[in-house]
Amino acid sequence: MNLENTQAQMRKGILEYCILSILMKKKEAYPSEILETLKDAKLIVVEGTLYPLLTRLKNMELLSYRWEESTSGPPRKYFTLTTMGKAFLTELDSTWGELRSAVDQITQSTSL
Amino acid sequence: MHFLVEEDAYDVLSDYLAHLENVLEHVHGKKEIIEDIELRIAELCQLKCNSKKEVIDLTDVQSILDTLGNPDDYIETEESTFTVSSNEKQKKSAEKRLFRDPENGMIAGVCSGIAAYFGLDVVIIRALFVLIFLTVGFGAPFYVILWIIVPKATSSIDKLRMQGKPITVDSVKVEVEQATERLKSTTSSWYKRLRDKKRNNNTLVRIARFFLKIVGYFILSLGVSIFIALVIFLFNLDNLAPIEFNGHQITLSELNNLVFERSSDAIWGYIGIVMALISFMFFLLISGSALVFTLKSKLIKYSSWTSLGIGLIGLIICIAIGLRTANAYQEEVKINRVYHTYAGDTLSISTISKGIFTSKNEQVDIDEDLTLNVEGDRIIIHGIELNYQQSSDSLFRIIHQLSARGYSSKEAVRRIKNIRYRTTLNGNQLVLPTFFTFPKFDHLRDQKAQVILEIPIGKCIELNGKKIVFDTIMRKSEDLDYLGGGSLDPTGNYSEW
Repeated sequence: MNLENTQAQMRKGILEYCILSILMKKKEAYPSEILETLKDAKLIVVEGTLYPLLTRLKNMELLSYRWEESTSGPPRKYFTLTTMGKAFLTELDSTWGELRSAVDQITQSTSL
Repeated sequence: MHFLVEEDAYDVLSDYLAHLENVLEHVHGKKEIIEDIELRIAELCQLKCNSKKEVIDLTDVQSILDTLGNPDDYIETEESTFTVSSNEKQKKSAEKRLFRDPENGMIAGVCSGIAAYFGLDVVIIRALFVLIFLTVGFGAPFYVILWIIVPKATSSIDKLRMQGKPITVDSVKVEVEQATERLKSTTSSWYKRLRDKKRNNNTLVRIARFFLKIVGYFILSLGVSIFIALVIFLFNLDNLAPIEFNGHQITLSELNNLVFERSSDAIWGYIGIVMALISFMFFLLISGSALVFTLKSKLIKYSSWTSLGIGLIGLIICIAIGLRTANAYQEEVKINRVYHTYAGDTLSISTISKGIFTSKNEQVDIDEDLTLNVEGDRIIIHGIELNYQQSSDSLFRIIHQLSARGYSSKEAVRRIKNIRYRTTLNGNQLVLPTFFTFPKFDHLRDQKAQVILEIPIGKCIELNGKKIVFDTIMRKSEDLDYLGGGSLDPTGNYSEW
């Protein structure tokens, strides 16, 4: 098990949470926008990973989408959170808060 | 959206999409995911293009695919985040599939892939292939066909599938690390669970699959036998219809020239037959192995449908040629002509044969079916019919009845006029040749020669030294005039009907 692999595993776990958060902030976004944000934050390495995730979140009815013509390229799929998705995100928010403080607690206590 | 994509770049791109489809095969919403990714590819292509650069080349595609990442990585993400909720997915993935295993193979890994599929030692499969190759000679093309249709095990997931192991994060990891010990402990429980589940729910599915497999084996063996037939057909074309006569053989191609109006018809016939045989063979081999090894891919689908289509075209060509040739036999014409009359009491008939048949010593090994040969530009048919009829007066009449077929009666009549058949009457000696000839360019169109002897009641004939007296009692049928008849075979032997 190398470092890269472990890093990838860590990122994967929070990817969904981040996607939902991005959509919460932006209200509406198409995949390339989401990819930009994730790439800026260095959360995603290969783009292809995003699409199966989006499809599944949509199938779980956490997301909905509409098509929009683009002036510069192919039509775009604009995703938004559904009410269910918003509730899901709130749950994840609190879980993440708990996790973060738990991890902080452990890492800080061991590092000190 | 339209892009100009270079050919090699296009190949890489379509390979990628095919691979993607394969990886996502059992993932819910596969079509949608692929559509989304295609859109993203289009977007990325757009970014690569500008006013100066209008064509997407290989480097562009490679950089695009690098951005998108290896499809195998997507599904690993899938499985790792949703291991618990996707029981069903794993059950499907655990289904055994046939892959090539080039890492453990000698040539393209076909044998080792098959060995992994059946859980046998590679050596056994290789020995079988070599044996087939040495004895029958179709091992090599068979190998090449498998090489083409069986996908290569590229990812670690493929390798697990090849061995029929369930795909979990753990098993993939283990496969990568080659740590077999951990595999046993983590996967054995999976195995058990999967098996139990299958046993309860999927008995029907399993039975259906089993039958499909049997059908697959049947189709496959049919394909192999067509292949053998094809090899025999192509390599022994001229020995298939050996019509031996006087040490001279009529070959199939020669016979074709005698039957078909145009030589192009024969060529088209061959093309049709070979096309149909080869394509049906490919269709059977591909679809058979797809069933037996539960293979699924676009390539298999397209190639099997294409070969079926080409095969049907070949068949249609054959039928068309057949119909056209049959058409040339449509009209039959018979022409009777009184050749001699004779007023005596006894007509003595002797026969005259052609070639080898004239010498009685050499008649030993003559096949009775040999009735045709070609001499120069004329076809010689051996054997004629001889019929007796009651004469209406006291005269013997020797009548020639010649018949032939053609597109039209006119054509048939022309053919009859070209038939050469001559009997001679010398005193009371009638000489009947047992053969007749017609020119090669007339083709074989059912040409026949018949001699009808009208015999007055109470008078007699002597055939080859045997005396027959005709009276009213000898009438054989309701036809009052018909007294009997028979055929004169190529050697001049007379046999009554």
